[in-house]
Amino acid sequence: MGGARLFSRPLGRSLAATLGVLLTAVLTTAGMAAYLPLNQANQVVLPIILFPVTWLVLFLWVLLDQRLWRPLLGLLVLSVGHLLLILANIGRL
Amino acid sequence: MQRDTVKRFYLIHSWIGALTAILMFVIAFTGAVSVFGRPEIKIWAHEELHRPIAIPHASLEARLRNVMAEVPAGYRDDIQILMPGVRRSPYLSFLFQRDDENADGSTYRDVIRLDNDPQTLELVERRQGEQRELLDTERKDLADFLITFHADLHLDDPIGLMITGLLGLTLFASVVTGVITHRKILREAFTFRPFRSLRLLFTDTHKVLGVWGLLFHSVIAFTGAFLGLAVVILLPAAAFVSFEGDLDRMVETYLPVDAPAKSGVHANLEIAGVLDAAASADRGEIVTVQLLGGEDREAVALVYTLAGEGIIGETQRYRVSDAALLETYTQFSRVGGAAGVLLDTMFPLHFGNFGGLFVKFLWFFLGLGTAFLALSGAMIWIERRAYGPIGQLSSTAYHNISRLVLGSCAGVVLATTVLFHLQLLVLPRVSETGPWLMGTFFGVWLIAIVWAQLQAKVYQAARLLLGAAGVSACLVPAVSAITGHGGLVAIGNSAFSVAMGTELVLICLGLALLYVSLRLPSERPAEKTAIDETSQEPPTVAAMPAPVEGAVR
Repeated sequence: MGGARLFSRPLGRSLAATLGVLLTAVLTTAGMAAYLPLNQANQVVLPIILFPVTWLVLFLWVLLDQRLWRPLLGLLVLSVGHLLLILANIGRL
Repeated sequence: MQRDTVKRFYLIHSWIGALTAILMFVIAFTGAVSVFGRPEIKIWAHEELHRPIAIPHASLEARLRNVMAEVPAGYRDDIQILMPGVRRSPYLSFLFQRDDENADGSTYRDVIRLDNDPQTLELVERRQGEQRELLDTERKDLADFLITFHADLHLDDPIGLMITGLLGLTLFASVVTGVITHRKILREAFTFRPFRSLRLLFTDTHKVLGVWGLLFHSVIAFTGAFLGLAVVILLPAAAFVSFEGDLDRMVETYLPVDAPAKSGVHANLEIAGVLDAAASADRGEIVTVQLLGGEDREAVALVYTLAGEGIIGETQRYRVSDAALLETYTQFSRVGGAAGVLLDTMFPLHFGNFGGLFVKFLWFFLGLGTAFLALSGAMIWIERRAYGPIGQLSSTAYHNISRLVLGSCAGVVLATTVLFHLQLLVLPRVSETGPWLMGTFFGVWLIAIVWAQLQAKVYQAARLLLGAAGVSACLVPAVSAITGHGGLVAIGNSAFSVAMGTELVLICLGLALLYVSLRLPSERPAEKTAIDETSQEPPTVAAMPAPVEGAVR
């Protein structure tokens, strides 16, 4: 039972778990304001309050999924999707 | 859950802990001390606050009217009164504020600040300048220093808050992965064998502190991550999306400070009636009063209080002219919905400033528990590698890491106790306290770290540093008596005061540190048997092979 079986691609996984997850969690938190079915204040504030949970879920997913490409794809979709929502919301799309 | 998955959780848990242990100890320890920062340590630090303060409301009103006469009219529409010894200010402070524009159209707030002695109400200091500049240049005491260090490590925005916020996230991850790893959690809550071996002491301490403080660690991690990251990353990001990047506009939208519509009819600023009404409402101690509208008949007073019988402090809005209560709300209740409630509870849950001294002591001891959780976790990590089968570095390298961890952790305890002496001996006699606080704290800490690195016996170094911290803490009341500062020395001729209590707590902590110092071995004792070693580890990870660690590293 080698390390590669428990944690494949340790360098890429570590980078994704630190920088990738932080960036995705911030974009997701900011972008949620565009679609959450709440009043404006709660749309903005609730995702911020729940940021630690968003971060933790993504962080553990990146570290625990045996196939790294799946969480990486997830981070990419979440980041790009929320970035597009943000740009649309501020009228630059 | 699959065995491999539990092992992954364990590896994540141990590596997060190892990488953040020193910083976590430092933040948690200073956070635990900071629970008493405002007002207890602040009151202890300022002799003028040792006697009970009871400023008659009529005297306060008269003093305000006197100083107002000397302040230009443009500054009278927004006045803040900081009550002495409640939170930030050791003085009865009046802040006359005016919003101005720079040449480029940006706005700034110009403030005239008048600090008055809390007993005699005589003027101590008058300062004027931009709001932020005044805040940065005010005289700091050790309470201010420790609280700021806990919040942002005295690093400039946004780096400091980001680091402490990220540390909150890693603590949150450690809590969750720790719970999943240690599945026999109830049994571990009652297993504590401090005298069998050093490694058992570390592992049992880690598990007991982790299990009994589980809820507290989770709350502190969650709220700490929010408080650290919200201001520097999350709110600006939200403002970028919803308010074209204008953070001030976002704050004004959700947390409006409603200035009254002026009537144009003059009325005297009769604030004594408002203070009487607020005191009789018995909601909690008054921290700040903000007067909006100057000497207009429609002027209002916003009275901010500490939490009374509940968890959350309140704001009471009064009309000044007839002291009529117009509205009562909490800081974030006007945000509305679940967000308002959650925001309101976030702050007291982190600071433990509700429920009086009982909650403060509870938060203090649990905060120390978080600190020792980080330290014991790091020592388990080191022990398993220095003396177990999974270490990949040399034994010397692990001993050096051990010296760094113990020197840094014991050093920050020593540096904190030395600040109390600095407060007594130096700070009242110098005009700029900041450099003294920074130089002394970081100087002592650095010397402790370097000294620990130079010692042959790492446990002996930790013993001596903790012993020095214990002696230093026990000596504070003596130095206080010699310098005529008050505190315990006044016990014969005064009612029990906060200053005396602070010194009593320091003696107790000093004695506890001395006890720990005496109980610690000067060298790491040899393990009795190989069976002992394996029986101490969580069953899910006992058979962890070395290559797994290398893969993460």
